[in-house]
Amino acid sequence: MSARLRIVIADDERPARSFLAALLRSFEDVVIVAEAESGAEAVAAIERERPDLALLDLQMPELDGIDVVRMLKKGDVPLIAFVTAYDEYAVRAFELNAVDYLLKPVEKTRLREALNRAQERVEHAEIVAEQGVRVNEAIAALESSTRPPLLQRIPVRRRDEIVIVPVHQIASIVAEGELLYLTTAKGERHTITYRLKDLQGRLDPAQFIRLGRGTLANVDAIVKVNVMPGGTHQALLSNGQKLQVSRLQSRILRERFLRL
Amino acid sequence: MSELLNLIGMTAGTALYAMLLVMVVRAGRTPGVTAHFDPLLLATALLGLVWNLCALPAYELPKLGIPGPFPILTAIGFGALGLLPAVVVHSVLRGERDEVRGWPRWTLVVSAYGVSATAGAFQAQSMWVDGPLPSVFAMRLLTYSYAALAVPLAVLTRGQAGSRRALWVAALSIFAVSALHLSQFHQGDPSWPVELLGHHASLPLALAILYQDFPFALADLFLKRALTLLVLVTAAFVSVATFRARSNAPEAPLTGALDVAVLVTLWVATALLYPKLQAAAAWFVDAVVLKRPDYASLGAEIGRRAQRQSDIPALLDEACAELAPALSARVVRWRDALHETRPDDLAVSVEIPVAEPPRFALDVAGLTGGRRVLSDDRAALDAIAAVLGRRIDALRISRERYERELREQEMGKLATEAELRALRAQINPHFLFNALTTIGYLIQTSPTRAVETLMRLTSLLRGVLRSESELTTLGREIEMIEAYLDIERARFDDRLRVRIDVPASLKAVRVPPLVLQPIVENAVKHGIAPERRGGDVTVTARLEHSAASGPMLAVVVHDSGAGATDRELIRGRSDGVGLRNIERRLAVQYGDRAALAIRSAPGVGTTVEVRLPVELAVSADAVAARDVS
Repeated sequence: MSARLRIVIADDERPARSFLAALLRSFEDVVIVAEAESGAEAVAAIERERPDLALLDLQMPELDGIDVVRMLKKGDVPLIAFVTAYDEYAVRAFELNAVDYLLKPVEKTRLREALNRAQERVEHAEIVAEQGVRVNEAIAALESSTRPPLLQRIPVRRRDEIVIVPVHQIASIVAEGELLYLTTAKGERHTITYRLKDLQGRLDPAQFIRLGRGTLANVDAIVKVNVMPGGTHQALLSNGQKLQVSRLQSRILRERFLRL
Repeated sequence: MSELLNLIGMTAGTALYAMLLVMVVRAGRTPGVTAHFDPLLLATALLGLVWNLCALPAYELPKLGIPGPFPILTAIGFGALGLLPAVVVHSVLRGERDEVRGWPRWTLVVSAYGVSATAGAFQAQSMWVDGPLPSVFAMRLLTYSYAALAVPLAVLTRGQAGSRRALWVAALSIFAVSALHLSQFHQGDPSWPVELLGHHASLPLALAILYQDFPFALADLFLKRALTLLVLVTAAFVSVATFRARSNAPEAPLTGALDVAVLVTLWVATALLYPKLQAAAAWFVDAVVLKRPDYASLGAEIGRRAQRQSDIPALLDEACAELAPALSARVVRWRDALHETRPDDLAVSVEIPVAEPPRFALDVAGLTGGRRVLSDDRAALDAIAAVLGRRIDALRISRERYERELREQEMGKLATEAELRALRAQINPHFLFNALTTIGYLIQTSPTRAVETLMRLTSLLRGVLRSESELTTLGREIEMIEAYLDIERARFDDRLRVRIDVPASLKAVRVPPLVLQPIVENAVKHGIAPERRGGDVTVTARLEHSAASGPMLAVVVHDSGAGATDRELIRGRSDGVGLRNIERRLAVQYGDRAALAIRSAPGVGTTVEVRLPVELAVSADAVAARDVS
């Protein structure tokens, strides 16, 4: 007889959360270690409680279920089951990658099956790790199959808290190794783990343009473009940042900005 | 022989001038013909008629031994004849607008009339003192005076087209010669060509005035008839002359059976020949004298081309391009007859008869080669304009029908789309399953609220599934919005705060179905749901009165939620099917009179305002009756 399955549930809608919690409480072999009202709370709870299983609502304000997984450090990802009211694309991506999911209103027998599967997997650490990979693959599949909506906010970690940065406040995004440095119009700097190419795909192309191989800038933040010796350009941003513009991009920049 | 010639010539002259008189008088009355009543033409016709009417009895009756007041008739006739060249001079010197401009011209005109009046006075004086008639002095005065007047006249009319000048110079000189001849009245027996010239010089004078005269649109008709008559008379004269020349007694009266037979034959022959002759004369005048195009084939060609064109400006362009060479006009243009002013220098302008504005006119300007617009040109232009007008009307009708069908089709499509979207998006699965989850939770915690929410969901579904075809009332839409917001409130708890402020008096105003509900749903979905703290959704309606557009219903949906930057707004507006669908539906239904305005700022919230013209309110009874059925 194994220990009781430790579960974190996350849903911003209280009725849905309570409904799920009530169902879970009817099972003897599980314990709800935290109920999160938002994605940020879920990240904090998971890192604090180190649960066996997280039941994450796909639609939450600011940080949704997928963002929660992305915000977690690699070793901290527990078993994941997504909960969604209706999302055929997500369901297809989860099924293809053998990621568990629950449909609202959650059915008791279906929940039981998910819990049973989780209990089996918990005993094998390597399966848990493998599950983490599959979740990431499912997320990638989901984002490539549907054109994900353009980002309006980017969640960033700052020490123990998660800060939500509205996209329009970001002045520049500079890639360095595996990290992306976001600099806001006010000059605050944030670091996120994301591929620049993927992030660019989720930003409004009319607002963010490439300055060079590893630089994106918000067109609204560009104040001045200086011509440098050798035909390249340097962009001056409203927050005082100076960014090099590559030879190729400077031509594009010239066509878009330096012409009436 | 010359006696016969005079008899025939004067009869023909009388007939011609009578014809001219009738046409001049009629032209002034015929509606739709641009020619206006022309006093100079009337004078020509009257003077010519008086001359011929007076000369005919004065010459012929004495030979038959019939007495009469011949001196008076002769004096009047020659007085009238003397005035004719003055009319020619006047006609030559007047401008396009019937005015004589400049003192040299005036002087010339006045002196011409003076000379003619003096000659007339001498005729009267000669009659009074029983002197010779016509007065030899008067005739010589006319001859020399007009020969002299021709010189300054030629100087003053330098700018005129050559053929026209040639005609009036010829007419005046013929007159001068004839006056000289007539001054030797009863002196010897000159040969018949001299006699012809002498007595009937009034005919070329009339032709000169006619040809000189622009406004008289019937000139060509007169030319044709006159020519027909002259040819007929000439033919009759030549045949009789030939016949008489062969007979033994050229001067004997016609009495024998053979003579009668010949006359009857001639009569029948001329009667039979007349139509052919008329056609030949018409052809001669059109093709040789006036160098007219063949209007029948031109009209047919323009009609054929018009049938192939489906674009109105292109059709008009093409017709103008066809007409310009045919009329030998430098410029044939079309213009919007209502909005563009008529240019000053037009030879003629015809309006294209169409049923509805915009109306067009064909302008012809800069005729070359001495061309002038005569009644047949005018009639042909009118006929072509009518052909074009019919085609334009047909095009407009078919285009209007096409556009109407397109509009109806779009309306139908939009309605279907709206209906489908109502099923797919408004009552989207997300919303539905979330609502069901909420109800499931409420059953456990608060069965009463669960039932209430279930009822709200039921009424919302009913509202959405209701027929899309007609306008609903603001009251019903607000009920649906309340049902929707109640469900969402149960779901979002205290994160969603709702205020609806719609005066009861506005609940009967007609609005298109499912225009407001999606806006409210957007406010919840994009304004409240992404915010952890949630926010307020306010729906208010008010009536606005403006002088320009009448009463307007303004419905404002405000959320204090996430908001959006202008860029996101523009994107959302073009990408988001919901708002665009609403905008298109409003445009189809109300045109410019309805408006959808969005104001949004990040962190502040979004306000959407819909303004609609207030249409007939549905009475409460009617709504109730529909509810029952």
